[in-house]
Amino acid sequence: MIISRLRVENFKKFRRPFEINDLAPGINLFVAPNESGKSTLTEAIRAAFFERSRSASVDHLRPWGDATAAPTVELEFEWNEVKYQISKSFLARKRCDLMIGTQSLDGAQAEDYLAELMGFQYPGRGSSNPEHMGIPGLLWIRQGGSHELNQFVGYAGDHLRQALGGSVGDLTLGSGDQLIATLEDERSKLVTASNASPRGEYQVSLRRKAELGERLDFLKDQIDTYREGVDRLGRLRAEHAEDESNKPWVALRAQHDLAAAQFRQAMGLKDACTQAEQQVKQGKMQLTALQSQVQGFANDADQLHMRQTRLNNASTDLEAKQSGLKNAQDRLSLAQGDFASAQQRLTLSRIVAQRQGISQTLEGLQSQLSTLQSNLGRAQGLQAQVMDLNTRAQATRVDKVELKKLVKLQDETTALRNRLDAVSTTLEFDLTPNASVRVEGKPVEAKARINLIGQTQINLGDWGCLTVLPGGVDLAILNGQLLEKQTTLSQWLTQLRADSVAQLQERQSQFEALSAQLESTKELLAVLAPVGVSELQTQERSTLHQIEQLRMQFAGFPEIPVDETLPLAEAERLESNARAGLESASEILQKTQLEAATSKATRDAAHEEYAVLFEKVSAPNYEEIKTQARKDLDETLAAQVKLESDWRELLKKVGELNLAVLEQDVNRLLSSTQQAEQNYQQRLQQISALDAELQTRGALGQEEELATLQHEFGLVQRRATEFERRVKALNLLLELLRSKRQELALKLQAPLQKHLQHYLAILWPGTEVELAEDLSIEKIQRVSTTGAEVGNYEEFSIGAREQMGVVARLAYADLLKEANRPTLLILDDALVNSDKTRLGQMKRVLYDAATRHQILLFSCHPEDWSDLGVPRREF
Amino acid sequence: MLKFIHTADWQVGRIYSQFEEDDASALSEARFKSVERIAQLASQHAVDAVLVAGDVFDLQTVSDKTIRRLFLSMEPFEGPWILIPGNHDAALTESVWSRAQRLNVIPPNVQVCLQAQPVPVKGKAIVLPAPLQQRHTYADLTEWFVQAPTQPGLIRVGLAHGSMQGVLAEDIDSNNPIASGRAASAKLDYLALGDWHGTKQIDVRTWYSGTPETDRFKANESGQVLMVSIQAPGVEPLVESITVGEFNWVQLHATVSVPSDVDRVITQLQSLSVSHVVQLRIDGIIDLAGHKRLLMAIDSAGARVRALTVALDDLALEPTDDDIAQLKAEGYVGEVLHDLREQQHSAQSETVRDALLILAGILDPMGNQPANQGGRV
Repeated sequence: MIISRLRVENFKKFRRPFEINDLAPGINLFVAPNESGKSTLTEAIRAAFFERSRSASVDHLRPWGDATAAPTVELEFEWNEVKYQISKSFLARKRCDLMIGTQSLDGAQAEDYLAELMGFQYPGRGSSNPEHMGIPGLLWIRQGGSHELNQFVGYAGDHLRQALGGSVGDLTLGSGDQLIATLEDERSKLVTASNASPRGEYQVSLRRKAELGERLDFLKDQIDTYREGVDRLGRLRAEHAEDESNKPWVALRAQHDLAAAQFRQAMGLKDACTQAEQQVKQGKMQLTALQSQVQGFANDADQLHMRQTRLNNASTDLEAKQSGLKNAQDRLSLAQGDFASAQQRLTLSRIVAQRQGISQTLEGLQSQLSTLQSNLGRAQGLQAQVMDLNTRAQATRVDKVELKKLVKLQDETTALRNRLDAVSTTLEFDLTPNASVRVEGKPVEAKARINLIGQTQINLGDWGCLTVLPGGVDLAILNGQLLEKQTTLSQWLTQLRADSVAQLQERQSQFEALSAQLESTKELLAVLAPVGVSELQTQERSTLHQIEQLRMQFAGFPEIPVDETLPLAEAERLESNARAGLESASEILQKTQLEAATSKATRDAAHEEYAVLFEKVSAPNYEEIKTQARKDLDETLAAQVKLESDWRELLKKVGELNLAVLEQDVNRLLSSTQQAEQNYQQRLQQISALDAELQTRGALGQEEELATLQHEFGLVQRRATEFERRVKALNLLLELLRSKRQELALKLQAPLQKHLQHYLAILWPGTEVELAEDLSIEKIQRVSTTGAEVGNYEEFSIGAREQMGVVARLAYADLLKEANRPTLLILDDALVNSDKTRLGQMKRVLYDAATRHQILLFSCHPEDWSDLGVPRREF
Repeated sequence: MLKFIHTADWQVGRIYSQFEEDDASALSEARFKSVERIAQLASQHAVDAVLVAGDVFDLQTVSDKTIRRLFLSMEPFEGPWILIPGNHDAALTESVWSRAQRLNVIPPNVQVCLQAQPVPVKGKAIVLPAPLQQRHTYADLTEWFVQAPTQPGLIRVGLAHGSMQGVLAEDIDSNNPIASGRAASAKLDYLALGDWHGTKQIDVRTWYSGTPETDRFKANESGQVLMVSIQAPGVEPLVESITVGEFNWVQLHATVSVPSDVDRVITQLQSLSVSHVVQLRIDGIIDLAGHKRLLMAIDSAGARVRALTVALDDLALEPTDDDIAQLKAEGYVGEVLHDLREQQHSAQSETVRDALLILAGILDPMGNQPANQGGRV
């Protein structure tokens, strides 16, 4: 379509009529600064189409401040060689007229015709919004809105598809989508959308199937166990019946008894053999004894003679030994006497020697004691002296330092007094004896000299009174100092109990003399009693005690005359000799005694041997016994031969027996018998236990439960299979529908792609665009200097988007033109974000598009568009 | 004259796993009812005895309740009942029978032969039982019939469970064999057999009664008992089969290719009644419209009959152009529909058919409700 004329009146900025009547096909460039009415023109075109003339919501079309105006738009365009004239006024005069060639429409009819022609809708009420504006809303770019694309494609979607339907065949995308939704809904009842896992009834049936499967397995197992149990019980009962009739243990027991008897017999034989062996051994021993007995008789005579001789010899020896013993005993008696007398003498000599010793000791002690006593007396005197001296010295003791200080104080006092004397007023009295003169109330002696220090009143008795006022400034001070020192001195002396310093000095010299005396006395005492007087006293007492003791000892000894005793050494030597003699005699006696005893024993033994043999030989039945012994020997020999032969026979028999095997037989048969009985008992128990168990199990009706559950299992399985089949079928349907739909969508997008590529080849060579189902632009893949770049439309820069937005709209326009729909492009400040290079490319694009479409281009940047090759309109 | 009912293979406690739960339990229940009917029949005809030739119970460990119910079902006939165990309820050392004894539910008029010992019947006859004491035997348990003596004037009746050698070769294993010609060799007036679920005459004196309540689709001539009358020893027995079964087990198999074939199947389905237990198998080719009609007919039949199993796995779906037009599938949905039609014979034909049906169900608001058709596709 090509708009040829546009007229507005009372329309926003244009209160006065404004008309453009030479609009050309191709690009029409409107250049004007801001606020000069460019946008009002585009708004007038929009209002001519989008707003119903009856609308009450179009106050914004009215010029400023004119409430009564009726905004009017007139528009003429040509399409498909038919002229269309729109005349529309709003608010104060609501009217719409449309001339189509020669046909005229008015009001809503006219407006609806326009909507159908251009592909947009009217709002139900209020003013028109972008979502109502359909195809013109997409192609007519509002100021600065060129980068927003997909939203407007969305609003134009239905009209676009409707418009393009003819070019791509019969499309029923909408109803197909509904079908897909229905199928997805059906599918989602059975499986989850995310991972196609069963849900709802399908899941329930699968779960139940699994549960039943488990229970069935369990039951089958139980039934198998039950059946095995029944079979086992049958076997056990049969075995039991057989045992009942056969009683196998009876036969086994008989066998056992027989074997036991055999074993016992064999054991008897073995015992007999052992016994026989024993008898043979005993026989041998007896035989040996008998043989030696018989041998003994042959030796008897020789033996008797030999024993006689041995007895005689022993007797002789004994006599000799007994005589020796007597001698030895005599010698011992003598030696004993000697020893006793030597001992007695020695005792006496020792007493005498001791008495002499004590007596000597006593003498020494007496002399010691007297020395000690004399020393003690002197020492005690000295000690008294020391104490006295000490007392006296302490009484006279004066501290040397203190004394020195006192002397110094006295000297200072004297010096002060001397100074005072020198400066003070001296009164010298030479009075008559009766004169009664008093100085300061004190009587004055006849001849006196008084130094005055202060004001002094001298009473002259009847002559009144004199007051002397001594001069000199220091007098009072000196006097004060003197008094102070004197007081200190006198106090100090009082403390030391002395009248004067000289007295103290005297005392000091006394102390030193006493101290010297004390020291010398102490030295004397130290010589006499080095460890003290009390020690001397102790020594004295001790010595006295010793003396007493010794005296008592001495008194204890008997008084023996000295001439009657031998000297001690002599007595001791004699005693020692006697002792040696005694010991020797004693030794000899012991030896002799032993020899005599031994000899006697030998003689007794010899006598005994002889007596025994003699008795035997001289017995009356000696010969008889001898014969009997021989006979016994012969008999025993014969018996022994018999015993040995019996034994060998037994030994042979025992060797033939296999006792171990016999014993094993007995044990084996015994345990077999027990086993058979035990088996019987155990089987009975097993039967009873199994019977009870089977009765319990049987009553559970498990086979019937199994059959019932198998039935349910079958049903559930069938149901699950049905669901599975249904899911499969739904999947197949959805898959088919989606792929067909995709194919169709691609087919639908193909022409748009073609037109887009046409422009993109100029603008961005190598760029590919992915379209969404609603024909909006989804993804852009662009080759730039930095490499391939893929992104959603919205992710690109505003400049790229506005260029893309314009290009896409041109492509939509091409598509619509191909579908024989009216197209008009309006670009209001559409490419303000594009750089010079891009803008240059865009100009080529626009120039190309202008060969197919009318384009109204509004801009406030005249310099940008000077090379577009079209005249520019300014207003 | 001796008159008795010969029956066998009651299989009490059987569960029918191929059917839906309520149908299966109804069929289990029917087995008790058939015993009740046998008891009533015996009572009406005042028979001398009812002989049950084994497999009274389907399982050894049925519930106590099942055991009790069986003996209660037998109450209408005062007896005597003479039962032998079969391979399903063999008289093992511990068995359903020992449990019944412990439960003390076997009434005195019911003689359960757990041992091979002759049982006299009202002074008229002697019954020689061959009870199974193991699950499977390879020896002929009827061997002893030959040597078993009978007082003169008594009718000799054998009662056994197993396969008559050389007669039922097909489908019967050689377990529990019974020598052919046993009736003759043991001089029996009648040999009552169990194990074969259809009624079958072996020779003049030897019969399988079959199960009184049909329990499988392949058992021909089942659902009956035999009313046997024997005038005197040596006289040929008079055998009459009487239907006691409640349910008629029907196998329907149809191959469809044109709409009239579908009509035929639908007519067949419409003829089914509540006494039918049906196994339906349809193969061939069907269009969507036909499929829709067929499913409606199957649903209707399913509500009418006692139990129904349907197998349509081999039925290919071939939507016609009309079908497609009917669905108004345009654009790529139409292409999908077309693709599915093409893929009908591919490796995943089952999934393709399911998908086609689902798609048709959604597109055709009057068509199949896909969510409910899972069990029928």
